[in-house]
Amino acid sequence: MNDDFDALESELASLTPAAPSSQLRGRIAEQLAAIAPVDRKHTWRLPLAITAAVALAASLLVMLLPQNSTTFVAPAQEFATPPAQAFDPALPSVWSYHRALTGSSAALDSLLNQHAATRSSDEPLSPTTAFRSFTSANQAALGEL
Amino acid sequence: MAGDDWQTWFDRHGPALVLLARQYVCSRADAEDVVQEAFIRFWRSRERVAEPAAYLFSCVRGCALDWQRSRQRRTHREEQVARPETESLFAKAEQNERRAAIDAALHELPVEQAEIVVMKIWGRLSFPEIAQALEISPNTAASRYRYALAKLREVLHEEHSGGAKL
Repeated sequence: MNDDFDALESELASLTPAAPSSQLRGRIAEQLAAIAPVDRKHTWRLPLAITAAVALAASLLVMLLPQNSTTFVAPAQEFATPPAQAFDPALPSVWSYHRALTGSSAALDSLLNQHAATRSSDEPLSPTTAFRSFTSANQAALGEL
Repeated sequence: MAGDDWQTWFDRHGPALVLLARQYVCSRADAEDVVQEAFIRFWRSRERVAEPAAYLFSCVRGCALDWQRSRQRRTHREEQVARPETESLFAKAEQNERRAAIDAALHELPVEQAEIVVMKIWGRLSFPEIAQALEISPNTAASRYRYALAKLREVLHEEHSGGAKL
């Protein structure tokens, strides 16, 4: 069977397909000649477009970068507080109240009185307590609720 | 690629391309129109494909199928019946009777077998290349080729026997 196939394949291969007409060759040559300049033009335009895009992007970066650095620096200068003032226990600050709270209620009362006296020395001082003392009577009242 | 000009490609593959196109369309003039469109398509994008020869044949097939669809043609077999082609597919220098018998036998094949015979015998493509052009597996291409040769052998044998009886 393989021999039959080989013989048949050889016979088929010995036949030459009819050649294309000269008109076909001429039409293809004409069409390719018309296409070629367009292809060359596109080949030239692509690198130019890429270069222009890169240049534009670089220009935008150069223009935008200094504005960004000013924006980041300004708030730091505006809100800066000297450390000596921020940690002065005589002045009311988050730090001083936080420290008093971690101590005891008496320390917080003392700090509040101190700051009240500092702010208006003419007004009479009225001692205040920040928290009620926890007594057995209060505990009984809470239990009733 | 060495010798990468369109005339080299056309001289090497032109006859097989027209023969392939004739498997789908009913006249030589239509086949040449198909080959023209396919060759231009191939030439413009040949550098983007791994197997240019396989791509060239697939372009011819694709353009021929587009041609059929655009004209809402009937199937190849129906066209053969409606408009029998009298012009030979092969050069006239061959022995006339045997050439005519092979012409007729090739027309008898289903198009999916005839296209593989044309690509393999006259296009000189390998089975992997044919598989790529037709988007099938190499095994399918090889088996269709074997079926086609068996069918051709059968038809040619019958004609030879019939001729002997006459």
